[in-house]
This record gives sequence, structure tokens and C-alpha cells, in this order.
Amino acid sequence: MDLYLIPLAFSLLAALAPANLVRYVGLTGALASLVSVGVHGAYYMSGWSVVLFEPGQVTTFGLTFKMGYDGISLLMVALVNVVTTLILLSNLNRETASLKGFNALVMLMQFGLIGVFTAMDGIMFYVFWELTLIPIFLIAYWYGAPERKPALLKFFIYTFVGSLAMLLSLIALGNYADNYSYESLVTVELSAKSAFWIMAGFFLAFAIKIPLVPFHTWQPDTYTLSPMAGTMLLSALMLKMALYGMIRWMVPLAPEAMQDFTPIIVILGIIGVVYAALIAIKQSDIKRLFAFASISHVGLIAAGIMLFDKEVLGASLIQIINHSLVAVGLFLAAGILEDRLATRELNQMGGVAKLAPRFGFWFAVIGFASVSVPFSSGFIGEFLLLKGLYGYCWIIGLIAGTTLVFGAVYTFRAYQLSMFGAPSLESFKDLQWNEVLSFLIISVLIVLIGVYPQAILDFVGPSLDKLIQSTQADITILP
Amino acid sequence: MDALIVVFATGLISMFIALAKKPALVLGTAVVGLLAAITLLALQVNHPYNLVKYDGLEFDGVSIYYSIMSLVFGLLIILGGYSYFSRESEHTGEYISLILFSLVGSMCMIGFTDLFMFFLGLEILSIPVYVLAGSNKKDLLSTEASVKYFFTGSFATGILLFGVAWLYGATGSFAITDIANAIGEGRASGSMLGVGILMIMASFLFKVGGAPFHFWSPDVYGGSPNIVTGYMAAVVKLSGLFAFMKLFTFVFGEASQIWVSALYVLAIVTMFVGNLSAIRQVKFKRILAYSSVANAGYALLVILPSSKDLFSHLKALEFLWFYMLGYGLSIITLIVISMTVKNESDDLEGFRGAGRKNPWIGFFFTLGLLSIAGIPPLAGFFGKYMVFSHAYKMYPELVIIAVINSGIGIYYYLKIFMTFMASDHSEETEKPSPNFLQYLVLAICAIGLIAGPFVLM
Amino acid sequence: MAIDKLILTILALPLIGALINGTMGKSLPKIVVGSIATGVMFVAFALAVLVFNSNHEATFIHLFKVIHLDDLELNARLQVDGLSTLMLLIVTGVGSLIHLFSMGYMKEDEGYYKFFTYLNLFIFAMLILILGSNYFMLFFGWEGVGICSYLLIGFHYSDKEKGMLNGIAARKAFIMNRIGDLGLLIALFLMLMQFGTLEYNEVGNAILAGDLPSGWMLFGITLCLFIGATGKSAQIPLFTWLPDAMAGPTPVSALIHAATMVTAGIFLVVRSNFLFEHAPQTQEIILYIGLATSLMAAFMAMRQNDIKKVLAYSTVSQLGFIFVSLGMGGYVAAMFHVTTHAFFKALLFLGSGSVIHAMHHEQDIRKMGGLKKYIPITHITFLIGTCAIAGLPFLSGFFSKDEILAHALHHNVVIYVIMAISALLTAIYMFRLYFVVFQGEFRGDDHTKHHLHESPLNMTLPLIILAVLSLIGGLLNVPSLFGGNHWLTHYLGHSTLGLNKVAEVHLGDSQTMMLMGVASVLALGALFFAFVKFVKNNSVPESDEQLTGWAKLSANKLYIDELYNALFVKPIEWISAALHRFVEMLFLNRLIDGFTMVIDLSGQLVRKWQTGIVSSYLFWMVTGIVGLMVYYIVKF
Repeated sequence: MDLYLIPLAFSLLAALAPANLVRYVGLTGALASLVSVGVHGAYYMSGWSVVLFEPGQVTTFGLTFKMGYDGISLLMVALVNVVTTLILLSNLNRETASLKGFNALVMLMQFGLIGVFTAMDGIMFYVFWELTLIPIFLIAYWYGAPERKPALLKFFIYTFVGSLAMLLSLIALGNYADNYSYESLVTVELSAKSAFWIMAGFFLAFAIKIPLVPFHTWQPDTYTLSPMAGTMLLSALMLKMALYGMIRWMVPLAPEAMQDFTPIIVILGIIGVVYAALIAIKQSDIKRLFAFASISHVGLIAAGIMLFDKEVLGASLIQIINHSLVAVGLFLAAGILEDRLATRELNQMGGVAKLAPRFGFWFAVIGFASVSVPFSSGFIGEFLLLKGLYGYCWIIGLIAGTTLVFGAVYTFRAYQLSMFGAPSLESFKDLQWNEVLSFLIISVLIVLIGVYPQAILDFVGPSLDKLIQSTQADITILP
Repeated sequence: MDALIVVFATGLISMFIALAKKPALVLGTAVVGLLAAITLLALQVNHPYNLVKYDGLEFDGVSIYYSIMSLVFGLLIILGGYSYFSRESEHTGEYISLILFSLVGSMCMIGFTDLFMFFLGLEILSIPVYVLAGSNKKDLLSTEASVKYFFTGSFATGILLFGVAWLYGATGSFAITDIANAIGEGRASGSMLGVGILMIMASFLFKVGGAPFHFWSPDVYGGSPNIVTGYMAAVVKLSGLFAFMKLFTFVFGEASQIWVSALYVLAIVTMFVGNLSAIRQVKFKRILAYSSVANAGYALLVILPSSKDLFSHLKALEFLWFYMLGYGLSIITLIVISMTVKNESDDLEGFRGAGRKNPWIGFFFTLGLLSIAGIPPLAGFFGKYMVFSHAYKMYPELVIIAVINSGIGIYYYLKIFMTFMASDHSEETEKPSPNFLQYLVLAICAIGLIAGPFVLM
Repeated sequence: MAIDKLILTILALPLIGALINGTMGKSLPKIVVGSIATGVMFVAFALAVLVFNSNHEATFIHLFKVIHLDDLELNARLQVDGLSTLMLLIVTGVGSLIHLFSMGYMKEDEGYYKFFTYLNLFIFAMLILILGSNYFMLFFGWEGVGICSYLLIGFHYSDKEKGMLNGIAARKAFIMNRIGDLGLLIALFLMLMQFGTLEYNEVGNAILAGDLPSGWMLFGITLCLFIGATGKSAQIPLFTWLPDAMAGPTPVSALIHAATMVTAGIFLVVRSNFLFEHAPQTQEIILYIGLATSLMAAFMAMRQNDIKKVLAYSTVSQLGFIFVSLGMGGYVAAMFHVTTHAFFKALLFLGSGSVIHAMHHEQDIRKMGGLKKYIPITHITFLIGTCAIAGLPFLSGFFSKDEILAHALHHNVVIYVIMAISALLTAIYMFRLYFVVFQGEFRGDDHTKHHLHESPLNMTLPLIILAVLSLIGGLLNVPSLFGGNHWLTHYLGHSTLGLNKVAEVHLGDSQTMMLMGVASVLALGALFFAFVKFVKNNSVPESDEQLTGWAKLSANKLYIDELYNALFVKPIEWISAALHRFVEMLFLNRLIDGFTMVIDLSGQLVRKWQTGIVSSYLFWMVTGIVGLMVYYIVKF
């Protein structure tokens, strides 16, 4: 329970704390959550399924309130807590951090995310899924760029409509099951047709949230116009809910439809990889560029997940973690540039590396990580994902592989246009301690995972085995 | 039954106490009376007994639950609206006792066992509301609302009576058990029955605001004083929907082939009309009015029978109860908050940034609005979910349409939300400053919205 | 020390150097920074010599499992055998000399500590590349050296005039390499699918045991490997980055873009010799690509006026030369030339660095001339390097080139002739370079002339050592004609998988004599031609505008860059803009907006229904009732 109570309590505390302390309240809360998940992790034995909350009573319409975790969930919860800490830490010197609302909302968001990743009941999953929408919307709405309103309206409605599709799928699925607990939903046997529509509902929700091309049109504007922390939350955590949802809910609940859906999602994912990368090449707004880059990266993960074997799932998880860390780093860099240069236009930047060598260095590190060079977690993730896709269909693998090339093109373009060249400014305030620390933590984690990914694979391996078994068992029952 | 008497007596006493021109005293009496009635009802939940026996009324498990909700909503309305009622101290007693009398009508509508009592309840419920709608005498719109409501309402009553007459002709009885038996045994059939049922349905649709009988609601909701709007949306709708369901599933259930497809189509029309009309509205209460139309449309989904067995009907009643709990608490929250902001014109823009000026209000507002929009984890979501999942068994297409409508609906809810919570502080908006009672109401609603589903389910 | 500890120490040394300089270098004095970086390199080299002395069999060092999932096992594992030891010696040996040189060359640079950090990091990555025991490790190092190359090419990113250009050159290098890497990656996937492992030994043993995959599979694997190699080793079509990479500081050009990194592609092919031996089609492709690259780059080098550009094209050309050898199965000959090339090309680059240093960062040879008087040591060493690369008899290049030519003659006379032409061109443009720079009269401005000076000892010492190596490097694999015993052939063949199985071509003494005679004549002829043209006639290269015909084509590098620009860069940029404008903005966004618009419009319509007039309300209510009645009548 501590996993939920700590963020929730600190959310309240942040709302009530005196103004001069509030930024530390948020950070303390994040750290406390981090410790609590650390304790859970330390006691966790690979392969366990831990139940956190189970009142043992089922409501009239089948809600069981069941919450719990296995290796995959715990890994995601750990990611949430690490990234939340990073977000609060990197924002510490900013004006937003001193606002009660901001801290309270971030902690609330964290609560919701932990709920999403530990929900063991369909309705609870939906409840937490939607719960996260409100804080992030408010963060973006209250602290975002001036011209944000239409974009946010679109974002909210778009994602909400997607969630409604998932709701329909849950309702439909609930019709076949005794109750909404994960176990009974998973064991439901579906006809191919109903499985198809159920998976379609889930897919729409997840495809919009991830977002996959062509459901992505809300994303660039929202990422661009949200405040730095908002963009970080959106890209580093919020979209991971959808990827996790694909792994945990979409495929296992309706594996009967996998045969029909795998090609669709793989192809959409790959189209997204290339399409978004191509568009990113010519973007002149740095946040928009990274937004498209994000679409490109997650398309690959989504495509990989659908292959649903241990290798690609492990790789997807690594890549999920990698993308979260990199996204925080990249948007931190973009935020620093936007903040201190008062523009997001790459063409108006230049020469920053000379004025702010520390920033130049760390931005470069994150840039390299984002193009998945060896010794970074992205390398392992992309290697295995591409391998999986290549095994699925070599042409698809080849097309997906172009991400290596295009990724380098747009990332370095962004980096060089902003950092290289002769300085056009008098001065540029170099990184402050909290920013350096954020970059440092991100880089250390990326390198650790990049060099020894086996640690993560061992952690989630047995849980993945179980997950894959359950889907395969399900498929074989029905002809 | 005894609770009914307590409420009625409280109404009378309040009226007399009002002569003392001490609004607080009236309030105290009403609150004590309502609390007593609620307690009495609560004690009977598991052991229904009748102190006074009367054939036309019976409070068993389900109707007790509904009565409690009705009374709680009434209590919240009285508390939240006290600042309005006590503006003219000589009328405070009248307003409050009108509400109490109306609540009596509501209970009659919930507990009725024959159509005569039902009609009586409907009128007792409605007439005070006609008056209350016009209670803001300085406001022409208020008077207009009252008159419009009265005109259309009397027309609907006429239709109801007409329908009841045909029904009587077909079955030879007013008592609902007799009617049900008559229909069940096939003694009553043919056009007498059919026309009677459809007429009654039309008048019900009027009461709950279903298309094409909904036209009064935007004008009346918009023109009435805020708190009266809240009362109409919460209590009147609750009673109407419950009676609707009780009659149609339990009494006319055997004749469902007559009315199901008509209601099915009208439910769709209601949802679309409500949601689409709301999109371009700029006045707060008008949006709420259309939203209430749309919500009536969703609620109609449970009235459509999902199967023939009694257990499923009871479940449907339970789901409707939860649905109305979420809806009622949300609407009371929104209405009470709208009262705390000085905004005579009721333009949405007048609320710009109000939720930011007073963060508590912002918090309560968020809860109310998200709940009415059906966003978890609030009561409104669970109500909607139950309704939808119940209807899905028989009418999956209808649920899909309802879900699409929820999607359309989010647009105007979000518009309200974004205006209310806007961070660009408009100078014109004053800081919302609720009084203690309003805070109390908001807090109770908030607890209900957050904890309600988890505690009560 | 046991061999595994030695290797680990060698691996750790540059990393430690990079860590120290990277974290604290900014506050340390330059001499300390440079000494640390150079020191670790020399120690590493010394240890490498120990490894060389002690190791006779292939040794494996298991570090840890990187990925272990069911069937898939990728290890961090090292392999020490003849091939990797040879590369180890080159990398640490040439590397330490270049480090030493850089201490002087980069003295004035404010990014001094960064430079050495990157250099050390590069060495680390390169060591992983050559020491790994599987393709996965190779890929790690492969990409790692790519990053360092990127960092070092764009080292002067904040330069007022050239900052952005340096950055663009670096980016070009990285991206072109990435294209190659994609090929390599796919080769890895194919191998995993086919063999289930990426260990050289397991793949090699499977092949050598006769467990051959289908021809197409082998062709695919080897072709993809070769695509990877073309990226890193600057072969057609991925070669244009290397001349641009000269934007980096000169020691970088010497280390990365001449002696070590660019030979990674060759290393890869030699390492995978067992695969290539069974894929004759790929060998053909390699042969012809190498040949074309060699000839074309030599042609382009003829009219370059930037001292480093000449050397860059020369490198491309030489690498092409080596690939021809690989295409013919001449793996040892290739490694032999790699070794000697590392000596003399590093020497030439460092020499050019010394020249540039003396000339105050002027790189245009038209503004030089007569430098032999001012910088004598540089002059002599440069001359030795030139002679070595031109293939003057008995210098290192002479022997190594000769072996490749011997292969060519054995293979096909036409190929031999083309290669001889390429070698002739090489000799011509190298002597042209030498004469224009060092002979004749000084053509620069007085200010520069006044400041012309020989470089300090830490710069000239590496030149001298490399010059000596260039002179005697040929001894490594002296043919039997001169009493040699093909030592390198035996050394590599002894412990490197596959190389002992491949039949090396060794011509008879008379044929060797004939070949060497022809080569000597060609080289001397080129020397004479260049001497006549540039010293006797004292002609100076024309400015670009005056060039016509072939010369213009050469000076403009056959317009390959422009071609690529028109074929790839522009279209991609155009597609990017078009996708954003038409698909993203006009189609997808409009589509979504269209939905909202439809809803909005229907909202407008439905609203009209609400008139505010009671009689109309009553009318609609009546209509509703009538409708219900009609419904009832119709239905029942």
C-alpha cells in the first residue's frame, strides 16, 4: 500500500505546504516513493506475483479492486518513481517547481501511474488510466505556452475518445467473464470475431496514447506547447502506460486476435518509425523535432511488442526504460534552451556549447543515447527489437532499421544547430547543480543498462514467461 | 411511510416558523426534520415496516434507498441554497417548505403502488417546482421559466392522465400489481393498452427531459434560480426516472414489445440532441440543461429491459441508483459552486479562472465536472459504467452510440472545465466565496463522489 | 602477467586515461593531461608487446553475459590471436606515437583535455572492436569508434568560420557510417538466424566443418558484412565522408582516418574470411568495388590542393587497393598492407600536420613551396613516407603492394594492369604533393614565412620513428626471393581461424622479380614525371577556375558529392517537407478537424430546434405523441 499512499500523501502535503517549502515537498515525496519501490524490489523474487490489495469482495457488476504486481509491473513502477524524481529534480530551479499545484499534480500523476502499472482488475486499470489524464492536462494547461489551448483541447478529447474505445472493449469482455479481475479476464475464451473487436478497442486507446501514426496528430502540438515537466511526463511516462497496456492487457486478453492484428500494428509501427523520422528531419522547432522523434522511437517498440516473444518483450521493456530516460534528458535540454534563449527555433540558436560547455557535454551524451550508440541502453533495446522484426519479415526489419540512420540525422541536426557554430549571444547560463545531477543520473542509468541489460532481463524473465504462456495456452484452446 | 409524514410535518412547521422571520430557525427545522426522516428510512432498510398502512404507498428495500437519496439531495439543496432562500427573510420559510413538500411528492412517486398515488406524487412534486422556478421575482427569465414550465408541464400531465385512463380501460385497475397481472396473463392487450403505455411514456419522457419532449428544460433550467435548477436536475429527475423504471420494467415489462423499440429510438435521439445542442452553448446552466437531457438519454439505457428475470430488473434499479447518485452529487456540486460566483448573466466566460482564484472551489469543481463527464475514479463514472455494461448484454449497438455520445459530451464539459480553471486571471471574475453551509455541501458531495462508489458498491 | 590480465589492463588503460582527463582534465595543467593520455598509451603498447611475445595460441577471456535469453546468448568476451594481436600492436603503437605528436600539435587548443579524452576513448573503442571474440562486441566497438570519430571531426565546432562546416562534416561521417552499420547489423541478424551465435569461433568452426548454409544466405551475410565495411573503410558508395573528415585536427586524421579506424572494415573481412571464402559472388563484388574505389580515388587525388585532402583520397585509394586483395582471397597480403599503410600514412598525415603547424594552419599547397629549408626533419620524414607509399623499391610499401599485385597477376591480368595504373597514379600525385610543398620557392606571405619553424621534439620524434618503420616495415613479410620466410603469413595463419586454411599466393622467384621490376619502373617513372613537371618546370597547380576537362573533373571529385546531394539528400529533405505539409498538416490534421467540424455543425443544426417559443415546444410534443401513435399503428 505504501506504493500508493506515499505519492497520494505527498500530493496532499504539497497542496497544503507553505510556498517556500513546496518544491522540496514534491522532491521528498518522489524520493520517498523511490525508497519504497526500492524496498519492494529488494524483497521481490523473480517470478513472483505479489498481491497488494484484494478486498475479496466482488461488486454487483464484477469489480474486484484487485491490485498487485509481478516483475514487469514492478519494473514499470520503479521507472515511474525514478522518472518522477528526475522530473522534479530537473525542474527544481524553475518557477513551476515553487507552485503548490504543480507539485501536487505531479505526485497525483505518479499515484495514477503506479495504479495503472499495478492494476490487476480491468476496471481499476481503466480508472487509473483515466486518472492520469487529469493531472497532466492541468499541468499542461496551467503552466504551458500561451498558445496551448486548442492543442490541449484536442489532446484531451482525442485521448479520451480513445479511452472510451477501451471502455467498450472492457464492457464487452466483462460480458464473458465472471468478474473483472485479471485472472478471469485472461481466461476468457473468445471467438475470433469478438476477440478482434475487443483488441481493436484496446488498440485504439493505446495507439492514440502512444501515439502511433496516424493517430498521432495531437502529439506534436501538445508536446511542444506543454511546459517542460508536462512534456517529460507525457513522453517519459504517459505513453509508457499504453505500451505496458499492450503487453499486459491488449494481447493477453484477446490473443485470439493476434494473428489478425500483428501485421496491422507492426506495419503501422514501422510506418510511424519512418514517417515521423522523415518529418523530424526538417522540423525547426526543437521540441517539435523531439516530439516527432519520440513517435518514431515508440513506433518501433509497439511493432516489437506485437511479436510477443520473450526476446522482443524483454527488448521492449529495456527500450521503454531507455526511451523514458532519454526523453527526460532531451526535453530537459530543449527546455533549458527554450528557457534561456526564449525561443524554440533551431535557426535562432547556435554556439551554445562554447558558452555553456557543461550543457554542451551533457546534451551530447543524451543525444548519443538517443541515437542508440553502444554502451547505451537504447543500443541493446534497438538491437533486439530490430532483430525480432527482422526475423518476422526481413523487409520490415530493413525499413525499421533506417531509424538508425534517420535518428542520427535529426538528432545531430538539432544538436549541431543549437550547440555548434560561433556563439550569437553574449552569455548563456550553464547548467545548475540539479540539472547536472539529473543528466548524470540519466546517463549512469543508461550506461548501466546498456552494458549489463541482463539484470533487467533476469528481473522480468519469469514474469514474461508466464505472460507468454498464458497467451499461448489461450490460443491453443480455441481452434 | 412515517418518514413521509415527518417530511410533510417538517414542511408545515417550517412554514409556521417562518412567521418569526428567522431564516436560521427555518433552516434548522428543515434540517432536523430531514435528518430525522433519513434516519427513519435508514433504520428500515433491512427491516421494512409500516407504521401507518396505506395501500397506495409501500416503501420496501429499493424504494427506501431511492427515498434516502432523494431526501439527501433535498437536504443538500436546502443547505446549499440557503444563501439564496434567506435573501428575503419573509419568504425563506415558503421556499424551504415548498422544497419539503416537493420532497413529499418525490417520495410518493418513489413508493407508489397505484397509479392514483403516482399521479398525486407527480403533482405534489411538480407544483412547488413551478413556483420555485419563478421565485426570482426581479428576473424576467425566472418568471418566464416558471410559466413555460407550467404550460408544458400541464400539457404533459394531461397526456399522463389520458394514458392512465386508457390503461384503466385496458386493465380495469389503478393498482400496479393488478395491472401487471392483467398484462402478464394476457387479459389486457390491444390498442387500449398500447396507447395507454405510449402516452404514459411520453409524459415520463417530458419529466426526465427526453427528446422530443425536452424543449422546456433549457429554458427552464436556464431561467430558474440556480438552486432550483439543481433541485430539478437532481431530485425531480431522480424521482421521474425511478418511477419510469418501476412502471415500465415491473408493470409494463410483459408488454415490452409495445414500447421497447420506441424508447430505443428516442434514447438515441435524446442522447444526440442533448450532446450536440450543448456544444455551442455559452451559458452555464443551459449547458447543464442539455447535459441533463443527454444524461437522461444514458439513463434510459437501463430502463430498456435487458432480460425478463426479476433479478436483472433489481440489478438495473441498483445501477440506476448509482447512476443518479453520481449525477445528482455532481450537479449539486456544480450548481452550488455556480452560486458562489457572482455572475448574473450566467455566461460561461463570467466563470473564467474562478477555480484558480479559490483553489478549494477549483478542487470541488473539478470533482463535480469530471464526475458528470464520466471520468474515473468518481461516482459519475461508475454509474455510467454500470448502466452501460448492463445495457451491453442486450443492446451493444446502443452502448456504442452512448459511448460515442460520451465522447462528444467531453467537448463541452472540457470547455467549461478549461474556462473555469483557466490560469489567465480575468479581472472581472470575483473570487468565489462560499459560505460555511456551501462548503459543507461541497465537502459532502466531494466525499460522496470520491468514496461513494468504493464504500457503497 | 597472465595473458588475460595483460589484455584487461590494456583495455582498461585508455579508459582510465579518458576518465581522468574527462573528469578532472579541465583543472589539470596541459602537460599533465597530455602525459596521462600518452602515458597510458605507451604502457598499453608495452603490454601489447608482451602479449605479442607470450601468445602463440588463440586465447579467450570471458567477461560477462550481456544478454542471455533462452537461446540467445551474447557475451562480452575477448579473443586474442594472431590477427587481433597484430591489430593491437598497430593500434597501440601508432596510437601512442600520434598521442605524443598531439601533445605538441594541440598545445594552443583550449579543448586540450577534451581532445585527449576523446583520443583515449577512441582507442578504447577500437580495442573492443579488435579484441572482441564475436560480432556483437565488434559492433560495440564499431559504433564506438564512430562516435569518437564524430566527436573528433567536429572538434572545432565553435570556430567562427568553419564551426558549422566541421559539424556538418562530422555528421556526414557519422550518418554514412550508420548506413554501413545498418548493413552490418543485418548481417548480424542473419548470422544469428543461421548459426544461433555470433562468436567468430563457433561460426567459423561450423563453416570449416562443412556445415554450410545455403548459397543465398552466405551471399546475404557476406554482402551485408561488406556493406558495413564500405561504410567504415570508405569504399564506393560510402566513401565521401572520409575526405570531409579532414575537418578534424590532423592527428585525428592520422589516427582514425588513416591508420586505425578505417581499417576496421578490412579487419572485419579478414576476421570473417571463412565466410567470404564460400561466397565467391561477394568476393567478386569486393574485388570490383575495391578496384573502382582505388582508381577513382587516385584520380581524384591528382588535382587536390589541400594537403590533407590529397592524403585523404590517397587513403581511400589505398583502402580500395586492400579490398581488391581481400576480394581475391589475399587476406594476409591485405593485413600486410594495412600494417605498412598504417606506418607511412600516419607518417604522412603527421608530417602534413607538422607542415600545417609550421604554416599557421594554412593547408593549401599552392601557398607552400620550398619548405625543405625551414623544416628539415619534417621534410626528410615526409619524403620517406612519400617514397614508401609510391612503392619505391625496398621500402615498406613496395613489399606490401607487391604482394597484392602478385595476387592480382595470379588472378587476372586485366586487374593487375588496372591496379598498376592505380599504383602509378598514386606515385604521381604523392610526388606532386611532395614537390609542390617542399621544393621550389616559398609562395606564402611574408608573415607566415617569417614564422616558419620546425616542430618541437615531441612532434618530430614520432615522425622519425614512423619514418624508420616505413623504411623497414616491409621486413615483416619478406618474400623468399630476398631470403625472407613470409613471417607474417605464418604468424597470422598460426592462430587465426580460417587464415591457415586459405591458400596464400606466392609466386615463384622469377615472377616476383618481374613484378618488382615493373613496380619499380612505374614508381621511378612517376618520380621522374613529377620532378620534371613540378621542379624543372616549376609549375604550380592552377586555381580551380582555370581547370578544364579531366583535371576539372578530378578537382571536383567527379561531382560525386553533388550527385549524392541530388539523389539522396535533396529528395529526402523534399519528402520530409512534403510529408509535413501535405500528409501531416493538410490530410491527417484536417481529417481530425473534419470530425470535430461535422459534430460542431450538427450541433449548430440541432440548436436551431430550440426556438424558445412555448407553442413550438407544444407542437413538438404533440408531434412526438402523434409519432408514437403512428409507430403503434404501423407496428401493431
